[in-house]
Amino acid sequence: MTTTKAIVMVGGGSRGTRFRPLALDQAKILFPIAGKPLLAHTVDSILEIDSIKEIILIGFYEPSVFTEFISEFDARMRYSKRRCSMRYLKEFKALGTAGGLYYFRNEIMEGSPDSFLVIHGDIVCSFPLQKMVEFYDQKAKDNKGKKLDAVLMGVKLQNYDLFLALNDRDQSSFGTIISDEKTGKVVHYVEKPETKMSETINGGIYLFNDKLFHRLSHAKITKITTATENAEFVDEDVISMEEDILENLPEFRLTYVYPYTGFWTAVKTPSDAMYANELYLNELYNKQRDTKSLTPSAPLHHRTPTVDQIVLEKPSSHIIPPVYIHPTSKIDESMGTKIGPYVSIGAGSVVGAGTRISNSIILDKSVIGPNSLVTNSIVSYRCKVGSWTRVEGTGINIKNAKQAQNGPSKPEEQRETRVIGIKDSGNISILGSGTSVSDDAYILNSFILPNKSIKHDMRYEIIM
Amino acid sequence: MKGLILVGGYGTRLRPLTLSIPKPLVEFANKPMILHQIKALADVGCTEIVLAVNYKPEVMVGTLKQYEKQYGVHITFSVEDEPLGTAGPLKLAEDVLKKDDSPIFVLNSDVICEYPLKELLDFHLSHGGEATIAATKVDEPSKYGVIVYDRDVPNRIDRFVEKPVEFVGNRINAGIYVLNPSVLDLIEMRPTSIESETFPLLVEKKQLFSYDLPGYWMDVGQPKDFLVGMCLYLTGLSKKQPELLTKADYVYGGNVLVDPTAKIGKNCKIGPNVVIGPNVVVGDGVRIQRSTILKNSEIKDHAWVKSTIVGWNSTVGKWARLEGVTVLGEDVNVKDEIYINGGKVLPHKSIKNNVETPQIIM
Repeated sequence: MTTTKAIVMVGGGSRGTRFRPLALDQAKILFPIAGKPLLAHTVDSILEIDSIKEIILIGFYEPSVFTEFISEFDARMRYSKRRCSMRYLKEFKALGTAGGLYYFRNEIMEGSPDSFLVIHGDIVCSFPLQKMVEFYDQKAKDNKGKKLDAVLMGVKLQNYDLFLALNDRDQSSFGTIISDEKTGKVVHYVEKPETKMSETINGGIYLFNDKLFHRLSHAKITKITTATENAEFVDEDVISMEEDILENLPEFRLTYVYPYTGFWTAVKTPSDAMYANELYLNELYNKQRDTKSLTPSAPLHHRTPTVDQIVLEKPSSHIIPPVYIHPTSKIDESMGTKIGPYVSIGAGSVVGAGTRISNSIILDKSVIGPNSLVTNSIVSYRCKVGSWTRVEGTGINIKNAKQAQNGPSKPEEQRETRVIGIKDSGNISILGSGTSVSDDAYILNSFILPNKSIKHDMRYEIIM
Repeated sequence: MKGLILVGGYGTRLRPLTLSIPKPLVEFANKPMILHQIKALADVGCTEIVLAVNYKPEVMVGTLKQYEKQYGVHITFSVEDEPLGTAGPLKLAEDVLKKDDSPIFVLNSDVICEYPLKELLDFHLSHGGEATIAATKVDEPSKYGVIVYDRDVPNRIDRFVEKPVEFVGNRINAGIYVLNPSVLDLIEMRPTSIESETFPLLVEKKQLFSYDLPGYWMDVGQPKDFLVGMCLYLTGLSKKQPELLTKADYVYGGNVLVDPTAKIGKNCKIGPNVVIGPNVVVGDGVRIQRSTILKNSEIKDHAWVKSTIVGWNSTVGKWARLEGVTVLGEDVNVKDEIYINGGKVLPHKSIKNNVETPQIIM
């Protein structure tokens, strides 16, 4: 059995509204997190499986959105002599989380792969893809060669209540998976559960085979035949992976859950992007600390052959790790500049002397003036932030989140004040691309749409 | 000559600063507030100064002993057993004030102005009436008691109109008076108000005149006005005694008064309208505007301070931002990167979380 293809569902521009104002600058899937586009994190993890020969992106963006990404990918493959191709397939309309898979079934089944990976593009985790493939093979063997329906990556939450507190139930949908503890066989799947049935949620990564297309075709037929009221509005092209496929799979008794316990989130909002930044930087830091690549002698490659190699800053008097700074950015380290933790700074940016940046993403070609402070914020491309300027998001801390969920916390929890990711708008500040902020100004928990000039303090505002 | 300063009570309006020391000793432009008045009285030739107080803190007695020598004046405390209003204290101190026939100056302790007492005295002597009120022009007379002048005699007061609905004038009582000793005979020994009881009697006798106070005037009894008064005072200083203001490279916009013992770091941008007290340490890359930093405080690197009073021995952390009439009491510690907007922080507190909206931190 070999898994030779990976499909990444990249979504589309007409969706992504929750990612505004950053979605006004670029596709969410290409938003840089910890030094490279969100999609590159996924793609680089896929490339670690040697058997993968083709990556298909399915979505509803204009093809031009991915032209540069794909040509850079191709160049890297040529350079590294890794045999893997990538193409983008555009849905003729938004087809839901699974409709595109059915529509492009011929392209997916081209070359008859035994199985293929399906990954939601906004998922952030350590992608245990190789292990999932092995798990799939093992389960297939256990079933004496019977074709499985699917292997789902199940995320075992460390703290279900905290997860709920951080993820607004009305806004983010997630499915819970109930499985047989011994065999890992999925016995039940519920999307948007109202009660707690399991601490394992759907991680948005699946292994399927050609049986999927029978299920998809069946789902289409079911949609048409069961439509009673307003039947003329039923669109059988739009298929939901979660509600139309996953909820029905367990009854065929050949779906398994691969248990994953590492970090995980889905990038829906800008706040999620900041949380993702924290998670990926942490992962990189732990890896690089172990391999000692953070030592000064390590070669500072921006790009190594197969994957975008991101090298983090080593800890110093002005760096609190983990911090990623693109080699072409200039940081004035004099006058007590202090950067980190959880900071990513893109290419060609400039940070002035005596500036403090923490838990933030600064994109390419932005300038942060001297003695300024940026925290819990995203500063997009080509922004100009003045001197003694403060760009701040309040963030949300574990303590408050727990309190919201569990009532008053215990005394030992009271001390837990670290900001971990951010729930939603109103807790972070975002400067859209080309924003300029005057000296001495204060931006608190505000969203500034692109190309605005801000001369006064802004608190809890959205500036069109 | 003699002067009486109406000090009054506990200065609760200037808390949290007055939780640590009595209001007259709170430094305004690096000098205890009352010293501005003592100096003005001494300069005009007063040798007897009476402080009318509701209570007499030991710390004030000690401090004022020192000023007696320094300015060659004799200072007595007139302590009221019960609050006597604005006129009662004059009667209580009658023995001192009636020592000779020279006029008596009466000052309200919260008022900051240029104190042109010499001009005021000359004017008083020239019109020959029993009393003179210094008057100041205000933008919104409807909030005050407004002076209405006699139609025939210039500067003679015809009446007062409390919070006028229609415009009757824009001059108000500035809380600075010169009285002939005979005025004391009009005051009874009981709680009574000079404004509403004594002055009307003088008006009736056609003996009350008003002098137009030149320059600025401000009641600095509460933090917001303290800062406004500071700006006015520093602007006045820049015109009359610019040599007292700092001209260092870090000054931006002028009007910066820095005690010589204060230390200022590199790459700072300070001003306009800043007072920095003795032994204050300002770190590198600090931005301060429209604020008073009281003695022995520390403003750490890259902090940003505007419209704020930093109390004695306090610390403002790196990259902290204070604004919106924030007042730190004595020995307050603001941690690094903290934002405070309009916080009134009681003494000895440590601030570890942002204060986004104006509030009192107990």
